[in-house]
Amino acid sequence: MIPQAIASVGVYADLWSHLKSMSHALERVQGARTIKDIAELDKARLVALGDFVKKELEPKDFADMLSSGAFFSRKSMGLSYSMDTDLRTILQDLPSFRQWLKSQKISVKDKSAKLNEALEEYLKNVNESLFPENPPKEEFEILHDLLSKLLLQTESALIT
Amino acid sequence: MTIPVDDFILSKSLSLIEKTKRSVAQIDTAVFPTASSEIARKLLSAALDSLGNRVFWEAMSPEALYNTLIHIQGLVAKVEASTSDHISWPLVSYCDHFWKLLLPTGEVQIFYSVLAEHNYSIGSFTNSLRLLLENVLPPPEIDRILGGKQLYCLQIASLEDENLPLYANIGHEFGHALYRDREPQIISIFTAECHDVFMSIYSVLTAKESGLANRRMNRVAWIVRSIATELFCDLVGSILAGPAFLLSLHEMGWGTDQNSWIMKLSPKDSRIRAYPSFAFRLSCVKKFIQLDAFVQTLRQKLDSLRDKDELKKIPTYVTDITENHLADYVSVRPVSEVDAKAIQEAIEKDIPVLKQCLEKFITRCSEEILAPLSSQPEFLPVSGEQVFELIRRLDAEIIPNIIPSTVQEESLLGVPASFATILNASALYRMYVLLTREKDLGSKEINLQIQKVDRLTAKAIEVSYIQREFNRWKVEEGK
Repeated sequence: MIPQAIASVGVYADLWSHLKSMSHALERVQGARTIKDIAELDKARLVALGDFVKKELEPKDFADMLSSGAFFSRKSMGLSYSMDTDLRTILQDLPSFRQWLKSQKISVKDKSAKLNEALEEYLKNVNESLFPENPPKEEFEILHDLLSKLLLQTESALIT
Repeated sequence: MTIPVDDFILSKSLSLIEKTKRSVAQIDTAVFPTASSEIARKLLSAALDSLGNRVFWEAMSPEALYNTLIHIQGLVAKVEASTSDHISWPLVSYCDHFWKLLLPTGEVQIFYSVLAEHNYSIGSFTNSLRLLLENVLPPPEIDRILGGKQLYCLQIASLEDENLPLYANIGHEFGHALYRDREPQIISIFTAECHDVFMSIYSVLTAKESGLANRRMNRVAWIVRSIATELFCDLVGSILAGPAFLLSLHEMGWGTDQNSWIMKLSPKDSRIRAYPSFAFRLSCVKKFIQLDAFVQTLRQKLDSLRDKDELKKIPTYVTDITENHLADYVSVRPVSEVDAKAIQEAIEKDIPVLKQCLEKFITRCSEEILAPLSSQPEFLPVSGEQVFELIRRLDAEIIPNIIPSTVQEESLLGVPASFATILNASALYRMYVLLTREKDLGSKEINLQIQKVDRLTAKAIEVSYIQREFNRWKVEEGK
């Protein structure tokens, strides 16, 4: 059998599709010239990317979450994904991230938090119909590289 | 020149949208078992119309679109398999009746389909569709398509004719929808009762690898929540079917290790599945079905029969079910998962405490959530005496649909037996047939004996449903 990712079904195919759509949105916003080039779907997929990255790179303290009564609700826990690999390790192995890390003397943890901050700031501007004149090029490229790496891993999991 | 792969995939996808739209349009709506199958068909049709709307094409990832369409084929197949050719209408009519008692607001609906496997399954059709569309359509469009509807699909075992006594499992499946409907209340009980065991597991995970503890704990939380859901659903199954549910649950576990707590990790949190051991589940169910009173009456009545020594052993089929869960252990899969071993060790260490917490959880669910349901006539505990009457009928190869009238009652014909009473008599008598077969019987004779029970039961369910509807009509018309 010749594996075909786009026609696969199952939980890893769901994840693959999820990652693909986020990667596609990142590519589109990087190429956008005006605010009109950014669709509602692009924004929604970037929000999903932000949630995904935040959950993996900045996991909340469980004890704190447990004290909030809403933790176990399906809505709060989300119909989200938990990678079976440590995203922080993958991130640190990315040449683009390592290069970016060299440019400032801050910790990996703070630097990875900055990725999400850049995404959130970008979305905030877009939602206020302000076209960001200086989109966070480096941060978006790192996020794109990260998604590409995860897609590669997911594709190997698709093989049955 | 680079081949524009995305353009190819988009064209393929658009063609597949049309093909799928045709498949959905061609579904024979005349054979839908209930009207709600049409809701599912219309939802698919609306989703495909939106996917085919060129306004959305540009922002879609062609690969994600094609993959979504491939997954949608599975949803189309569910609607196509929703046909009265394979699903008996008395069964779904009874199911619809119970569904409305459990979820009376009408906001949550259900349609019926067939599962390829020999089992039962329930899932939210609307949630599945939403998750597929999220990758390719903007949220407002998805909300417009789904229109706030919550539609479930109950899939019934494909070998339905051979599966009548396992109807008791349908109550368990309905429990999943009830759980979702009452989630905030259930979660609040769950959080209160499991707080200490969670903190204990968390401390083990933190001591092992603090950097990964929060992520692992999130997965543990999904695991324990999944286990609690199964136990809650068992309670609902017990209320709807009583001892027949115990027998069904027992039968589902035949041939498997009774002491393993199976947990399967998944990259998608909501797809993490975990099941308590059969031994623990059976023990919990036994506590909630008021077995002692049922067995005592049934035994008393059976003892009054002459020359029926084997039949008199019927109560032991439920009392002898073993539920020793002292040797329980935990198995987390797949082993290749980086978190599997750590999670398995952490949960296994606290399994006795976890069991105590879960027992308290289901006791409170029973008292605070399910108690109001238990007072409805359909959910009252089955009577050992009535089940005895139907077993006698089955033994005489008579349709077990009527409870004979007593002297005090006006009607000489007796009263229609309830769904649960028929189910219990059938499940117990079927067990008797399976256990007492003569050793020299061939497969043909055994099949004939089992078929007799199945057919008599199916007919009784059908007739009792008609009798029930007739009696209701008589009251409404004042006849």
